[in-house]
Amino acid sequence: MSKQSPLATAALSLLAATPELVVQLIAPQVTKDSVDEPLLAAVAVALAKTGDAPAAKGLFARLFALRPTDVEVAVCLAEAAMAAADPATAVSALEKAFALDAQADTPAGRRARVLAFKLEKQLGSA
Amino acid sequence: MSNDDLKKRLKKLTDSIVEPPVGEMAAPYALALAQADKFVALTALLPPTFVVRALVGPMPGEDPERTRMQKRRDAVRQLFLGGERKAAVEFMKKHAAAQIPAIEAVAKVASETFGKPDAKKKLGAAIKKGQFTDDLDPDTLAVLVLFQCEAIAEAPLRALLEDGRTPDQAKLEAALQRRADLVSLLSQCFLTRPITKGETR
Repeated sequence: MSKQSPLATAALSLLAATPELVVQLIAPQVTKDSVDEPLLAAVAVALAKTGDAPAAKGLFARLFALRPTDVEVAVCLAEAAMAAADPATAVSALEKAFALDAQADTPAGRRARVLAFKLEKQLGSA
Repeated sequence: MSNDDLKKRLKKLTDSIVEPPVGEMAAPYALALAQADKFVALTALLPPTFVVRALVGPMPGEDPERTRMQKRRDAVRQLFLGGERKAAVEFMKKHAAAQIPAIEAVAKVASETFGKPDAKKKLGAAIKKGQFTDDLDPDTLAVLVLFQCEAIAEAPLRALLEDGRTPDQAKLEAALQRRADLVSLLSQCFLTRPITKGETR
């Protein structure tokens, strides 16, 4: 985990109540080569909350590249990919989440199981 | 990657999911699920027939001619699934209150959950005490529980679980038997597109 920057601190403090502000004010500050993990996480969550699933997916994918053993990030990526109608990315992310938490020991691991059922249903009815 | 390939990969994932043993389902599993999906957690805590009957229709052995109740159930279900939760409550109050007076009181609490944070706690506390289970129409309770799943505060739910209240063993076993139904319900509630007005599923 990288040290939390002032920008990330601001984003995290705004995230719960006003994710729109994070998207409007802080997301533009995220450069394409940023490796500020807390900032990426906060902006990605804000984008997901405000309905910009494709952008959220992109940031979660970048974050997962930085944290390849973080099951929570894998699950967030899967969820964003599902919302962005990208089942291939969602399945890949869920496979990684299942592998990272093989026994579903963590809440994120269990959430991955719920998402797998949901995605299976989505694909089945597509 | 074709859709079929994705389905196969997903099936492999879902097939790997192992059911928790009945005795271990109560606190840790439901608590973890609560963080992922309150609906699942509550189905583990509450008498499962309430949830199942309200959403999948008559259980095996039930009289299929119970059309009146079925129609009411379907109407509320459609309202609920369509995101019309206030309308679902109003419908429920209008059509069910005349039969079961207790519903009025519960519906009032339920209605308040839309505007008053304290009402969430009241309903959560009432569920915790089991006040509803004896004198409420199961279908009505199911609707209450379902829309409350999203509204209920996480803290009361966690307290409910951490209090160590273990659901009745027989009911848990019944819940596991109906697991397939519940998974299907989950999908209905949270996945598929909302029903548009006038449309039936």
